Amino acid sequence: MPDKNEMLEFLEECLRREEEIIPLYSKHVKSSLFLSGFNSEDRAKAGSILDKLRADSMRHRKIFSGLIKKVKESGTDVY
Amino acid sequence: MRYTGSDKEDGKTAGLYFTKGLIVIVFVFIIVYAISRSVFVTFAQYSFLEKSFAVVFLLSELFIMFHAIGYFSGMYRIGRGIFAAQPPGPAASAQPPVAILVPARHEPRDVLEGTLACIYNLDYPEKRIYLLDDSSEERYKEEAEELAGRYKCALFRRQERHGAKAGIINDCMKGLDEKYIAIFDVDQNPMPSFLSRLMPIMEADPKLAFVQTPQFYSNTDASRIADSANTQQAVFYEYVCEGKSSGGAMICCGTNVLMRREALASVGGFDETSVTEDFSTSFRLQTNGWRTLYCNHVNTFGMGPENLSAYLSQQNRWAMGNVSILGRILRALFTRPFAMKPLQWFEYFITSSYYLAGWAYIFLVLCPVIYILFGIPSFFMHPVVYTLTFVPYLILSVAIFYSTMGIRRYTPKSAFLAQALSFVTIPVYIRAGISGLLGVRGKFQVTKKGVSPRIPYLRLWPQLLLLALNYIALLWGINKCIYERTTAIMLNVAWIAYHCILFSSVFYFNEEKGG
Repeated sequence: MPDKNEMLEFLEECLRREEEIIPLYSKHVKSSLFLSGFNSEDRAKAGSILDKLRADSMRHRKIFSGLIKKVKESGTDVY
Repeated sequence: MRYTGSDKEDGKTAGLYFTKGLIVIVFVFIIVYAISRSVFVTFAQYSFLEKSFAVVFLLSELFIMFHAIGYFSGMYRIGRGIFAAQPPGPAASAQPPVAILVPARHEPRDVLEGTLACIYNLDYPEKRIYLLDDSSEERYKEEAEELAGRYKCALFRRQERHGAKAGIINDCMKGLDEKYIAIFDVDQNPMPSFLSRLMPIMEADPKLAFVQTPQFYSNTDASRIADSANTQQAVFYEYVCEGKSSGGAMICCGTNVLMRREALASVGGFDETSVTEDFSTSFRLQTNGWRTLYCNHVNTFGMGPENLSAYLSQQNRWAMGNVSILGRILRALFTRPFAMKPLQWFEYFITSSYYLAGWAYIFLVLCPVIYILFGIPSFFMHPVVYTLTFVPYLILSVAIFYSTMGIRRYTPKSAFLAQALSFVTIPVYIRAGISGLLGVRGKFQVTKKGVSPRIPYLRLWPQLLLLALNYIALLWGINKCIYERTTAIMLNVAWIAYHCILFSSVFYFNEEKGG
């Protein structure tokens, strides 16, 4: 069972990955879609899915930020 | 050891044989054309001055043809790989420790952070990240410390700067005990499976010094330069590297590479005397019996130069560095001819002499201008022989180049623009070629990131002078066509018009997109 600090560390790690990694990966994958062999319609679809992933990532960030705040403010020490 | 496309791709076999057949036909035309040209130049009845120009023109053509043979022979060897990028190896069973080195000096924080984040996210447990900070300014040092802490990197610094990137890697390597070293430039973002996919390849061959993977620029939307530089990279990484690897002569490109530390240590680390330490070190490794390999699978996304200034600076460094190794290669060929196989020597000679193409192109560009403006001919050939030898060679070469780029999803427009960008770089190649041959030691310059304002046109005077000369010759040539209309004049005018288009691209590349 993680204690409060471990939990916070874990959540901050999740937040970091959402903040840094997802936007980078989706940008890179989007830039190479022309190599995929998809037609323009499918490429546009894949592009919009990647945009959705970015939007979802923003939502996840908010969730993680909220959780971090909640854990910090909470008196519970074991999760 | 090669990784090729699946044998199930039988539908592509016909296309493969067709392409290989075309390449063989190109070889035949190149040889026939080269012999015909040499015969015409030797026996033509012209003055000494005209013959001198003709010899220079012929030598330039032979140089280009030699490199065309190098390019197409590599393409012939890769065979099925033309149609399918090489898949990565299976998942790693053994996971030996890897030291991941990120050399950095005065890099933008967001670029460095992105790369460290991606490396931190590699799905390989036995990794240790080393941020090799060579910054001298306090602001960058502080940022490096903060980011190293955030991404759990060991921060390596040194007291005395020497040997730029090669130097700091060598200094850091002295304290490493990991079996492997992965190197990433600050602007290169590896995907999570980079190490786990490449490790089985390294583990399978104890004499394999490194596995190189491609660079792929994902900032192609940022500027025209980045877009065209990416296409140029594609020509290199999609075909040239595969050809080199199949000939056992793949070179290290300094980033996106997994290296065996023992191999690097056995040749004394990276060569600090060259600005292209990666190429020079590859040569040392191969002449010392180590093998090298290329895995054509994009595992890393990076940033290409986003403005003409950064691009020309990068090309200057590559050209100067590669040409400076040419002497060493030739010396080694005579003193240690059995250190490598003939095909490997050929590939190293091709790589080190490639940037001398600036000299070849400048003669090919100027000779038609001189003919039109001053009436001094330099191209002697009967029109019928020209049509039967040069025209098929030209058409087939262009057709193979554009169609194979098309197979890898690059459009004719992007391939043409990449070619135009090379033309704009001719003056840089010329200067760098001289410096490289004379052994002038260049300074290692990090390619600047970001879109900056255009280069003042005064600094682009060599390109503009060439453009102006070609335009003047074009106008004069059109005028001559009206009154003389000989085959020679019309052909020269056609080439000059083509060169005008290529040199005009200096404006296209020096202006911001949409600017």
